[in-house]
Amino acid sequence: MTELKEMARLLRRDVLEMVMDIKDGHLGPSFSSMEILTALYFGGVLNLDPDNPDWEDRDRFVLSKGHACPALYAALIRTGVIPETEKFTLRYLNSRLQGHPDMYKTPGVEATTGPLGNGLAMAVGMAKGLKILKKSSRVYALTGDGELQEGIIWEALTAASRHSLDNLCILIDHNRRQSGGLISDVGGSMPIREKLEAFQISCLECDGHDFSDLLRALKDAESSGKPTAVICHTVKGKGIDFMEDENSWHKRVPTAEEFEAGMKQLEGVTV
Amino acid sequence: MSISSTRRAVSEGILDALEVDKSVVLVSSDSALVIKAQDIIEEYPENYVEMGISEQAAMAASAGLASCGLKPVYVSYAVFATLRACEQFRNAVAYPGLDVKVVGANGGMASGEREGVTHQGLEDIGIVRTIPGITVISPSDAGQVRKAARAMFDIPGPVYLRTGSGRDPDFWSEDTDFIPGKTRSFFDSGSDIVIFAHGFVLSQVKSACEVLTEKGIGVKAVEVATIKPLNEKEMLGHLHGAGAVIVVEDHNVIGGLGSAVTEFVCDNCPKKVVRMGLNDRFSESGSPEELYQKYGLTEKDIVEKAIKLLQD
Repeated sequence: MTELKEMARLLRRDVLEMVMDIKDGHLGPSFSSMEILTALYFGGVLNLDPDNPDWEDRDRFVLSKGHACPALYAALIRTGVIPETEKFTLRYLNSRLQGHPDMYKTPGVEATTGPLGNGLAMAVGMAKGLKILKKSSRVYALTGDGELQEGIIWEALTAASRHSLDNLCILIDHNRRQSGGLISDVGGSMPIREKLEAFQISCLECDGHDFSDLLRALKDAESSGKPTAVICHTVKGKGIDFMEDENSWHKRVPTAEEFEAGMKQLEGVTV
Repeated sequence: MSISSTRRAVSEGILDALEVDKSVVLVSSDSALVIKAQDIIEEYPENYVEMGISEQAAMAASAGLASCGLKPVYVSYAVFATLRACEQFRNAVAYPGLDVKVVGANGGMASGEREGVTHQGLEDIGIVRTIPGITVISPSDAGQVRKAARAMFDIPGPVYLRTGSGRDPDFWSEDTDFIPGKTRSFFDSGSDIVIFAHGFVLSQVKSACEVLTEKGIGVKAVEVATIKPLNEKEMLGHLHGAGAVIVVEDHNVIGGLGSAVTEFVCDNCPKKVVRMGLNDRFSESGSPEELYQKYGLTEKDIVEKAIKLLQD
C-alpha cells in the first residue's frame, strides 16, 4: 500500500504541474479520482501490456468522466504507454494529450469521452463485444456522480443488466459535487445505490482514497456475477487542503503562490 | 409500378454480409423488426445486440463494439439516428473514425408516410453531411438498398445509409449493380438542363425528363446515391456543357444533395442551380402521392420548374 500511496502522490504532482503549465484543465475532478486510477493501473487490477497497448486480450478502462483526463494521462505516462517527453503537451496544439480523451490520437486511451454519459454506454458495447468474441477481459468505466444525471447512463445500465454483463465494473467517483456546486443543490443524483440496485446493478461501496478498501471492492466486483458498480466515496480536490471540497477548483488554475503551496503539500508526504 | 420494401432489403444486405463476415453485428434499439430482421435474429443470435429503446446508448455502444474489432450496424429511424443520437454519432463514432454503419429508415416525407413529421427524416442527410468522415448513401429502391447494405461493410469508417418506409417503388432492374461512390445517368436527351436526384423520386424525375424532351428541351438525369463524398470527377463530367442544374430530393432543400451540388457548382463551374425538395418547412401525414403533390415533388412540378428555369 505504501507504494500505491507514493504513486498517487507523484501522479497528483504530475497533474498539478501539467495543468499549471498550460494554465487550463480540471484539477478537482482529477484529484478525487486519483486513488481509483492508481489502484487500477498500479494495483494489479487492469491486465495490460504497456509494450503493446492494443493487445486484444487486455482489460479496458474507459474514463467516462473525461474531463479528469490529466489524471489518466499522468497514469499512462508513468506506466510508460505515453512517453514522459509528452508530459507538458496537455491541451497544446498538435498534442496527443487532448483537452478530453481521444482514443484515435492517444495510446492507452480506450474511448473518446468527455460528453458525459457516453463513456459508460461505450463501455457497455465493449463488454458485450468482448463476450461475443469469447474474451475473458474485463471492462472498467469511471463515471462522476453528477454524470449520473445524464439519461444515457440509465439507458446503458438497463442494457448492461439485460445482457448480464458481469465483465463490466462501473466505478463512481462520488465526490458529491458537480461543476455548478453541490449535487444536492444543482442536479440531484441521490440515492445512487438505491437507483442502481433498482436497475439490477450489484453495488459495492468503498472509501475512494483508501487503497485496501478500493482493492477489496474491485476484487469483490469480479465475483458478483452481475454488472457491478463500486460507489467510491471521495473528496473533490483531495490531496491539497485548500482545494478539498472547494467547488471553484472544479476547473480553476492556481496562482503561482497556490501552485507552490500545493506542490509543497505533495512533497514526500503521502495523503 | 412495382413496390418493394427497402427496409427488408437492409436485412437481406446484412445477411449477405454475415455470410462472409461473422464480425458483423446488428445493433437494435427495439428497431430490428423495422428492417424485418427476424432471419438475422434466428440465424445469427450471437450477432444481434438488442439495446432496448435507447438510441443514444445504442449509438455509443456501437462505438464500443467497433473498438473491439466487431463491425456493428445500428438500425433506427433516420430522424432518431441522426437527431436524437446525433451527438453520439459525432463524438463516439465519427470523431474516432470507428467502423460503425448506421441505417436510417423513414428517410424523407414519403418514406415516413402517415406517421407524420415526428417520424420522417427530413434533415438527416444535412445533419450527417456536416460531420467529418461519414460516408452518406441514399439508394433509390429495394434492390439497390440490399446491394448498398452489403457494400457498406467494405467502406472503411462510419457510413450512413438512408432507407425508406417498406413500401418503396422499384426503379432499377434487379441485375443493376451498386458501386459506392459512383453516379449513374438514367436519362439523356441533351444538355439544356442536368437533373441530379437520389432516393425514391427517380421515377417522377424520369417521367419529367420524357415530357421535357417531348417539348424540345434536352435534359440529362443523374442519380447521386453517394452524397458524401461526391464523385467530383463524374460530377464535373455531368455538369460540362449543361445550361442549368436542378436537384430533386425528398429532404429539406437546406443541407441535402441540393446543398452539396450547389456548393460543388459554386466552387467548380458556377451556373444556375435550383433545389427542389421540402422547402424549409415541416410536412405532415399523408400518402406518398398526396405528400409529393402538396409539397411540390411531382413530375408536373419538375417540368414546370425546368421550363421556368430556362425562361429566366
